[in-house]
Amino acid sequence: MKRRAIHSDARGTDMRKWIAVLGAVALASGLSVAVGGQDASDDEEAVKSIAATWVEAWNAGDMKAVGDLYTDDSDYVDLFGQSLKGRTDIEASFSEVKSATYEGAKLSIETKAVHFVKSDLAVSDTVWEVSDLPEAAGPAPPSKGQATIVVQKQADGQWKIVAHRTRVPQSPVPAPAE
Amino acid sequence: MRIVLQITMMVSLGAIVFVGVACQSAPPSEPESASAPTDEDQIRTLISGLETAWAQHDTAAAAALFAEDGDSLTSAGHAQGRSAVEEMYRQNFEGILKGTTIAAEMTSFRLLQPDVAVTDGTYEISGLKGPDDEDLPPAKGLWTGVDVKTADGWRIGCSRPMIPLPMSDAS
Repeated sequence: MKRRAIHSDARGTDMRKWIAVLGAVALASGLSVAVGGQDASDDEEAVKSIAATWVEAWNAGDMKAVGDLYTDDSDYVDLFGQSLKGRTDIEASFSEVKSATYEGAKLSIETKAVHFVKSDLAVSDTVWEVSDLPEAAGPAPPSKGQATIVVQKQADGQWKIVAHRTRVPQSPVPAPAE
Repeated sequence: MRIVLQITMMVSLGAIVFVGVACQSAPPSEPESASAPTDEDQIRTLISGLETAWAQHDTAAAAALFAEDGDSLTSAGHAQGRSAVEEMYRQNFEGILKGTTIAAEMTSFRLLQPDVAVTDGTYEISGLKGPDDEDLPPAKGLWTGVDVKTADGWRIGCSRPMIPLPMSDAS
């Protein structure tokens, strides 16, 4: 009822000014939506760049730079189901795996999907592949797999990995034998 | 002058509406009692819900454990969204998972935000059959979930099961 009274009161110049105000408000909210959209695509790029930085650092043997992508309390589960907690242990494990199994090999990672659970928290699914594997006496190590990283925007605006899971997809039912 | 008054009144009205909404949406105060299920308890309930739905091959009940935009990425493929998840379960329960049951256990619960958790656990699928209908040993694996607290309670946001490689492959 009150609102109706306000409207019937407004006429002439006042009405035009009022429309102008409304227009400005609408324009401003439209702009903020557009800016929000811009931020969202920037965030998606930032999340995707984590995998790109990861692979670059790994191939360069810079495990400190790999470790920098993780939060101090992040966790990691490797291909064998072994669980590691904390950036320090994760970084050490990557150093060991690289020198023991993948020295000289070239890793590539492709981000397949980024799913924003919240504006500051996303799940990113990637596939990884290793080429130029070193000659080894034993069975060849896995050369293809998937990795899922859960990333969270930090207070400084940087995205970091809070959880990392990697796996080689296997069906629970073996393929029929020849 | 009149405009200023109008804006002030609109803002005041807006504030009243906003306060009304805020009061309405404020969560009911939950008494700290031993019986109130914790977030972790509620996620365990989700897991037992999956065990039950799986045993009955109830695809709708299984999919209802997922968030509306929840997804599942398995060796069989990616199902994005609750209805795709339901379709995935339907195909599996008519196919390789027909007649199976699952037992799942949560081994780790980590709250990232008040309404987002990363959970890990183990699973064992029993009753698998081979291509010639022969009995297969149970498939044992690990699962990771990113779970979200929705208006309807905790739901699975992302499901990422895996079967670990045998350690001998590490060489």
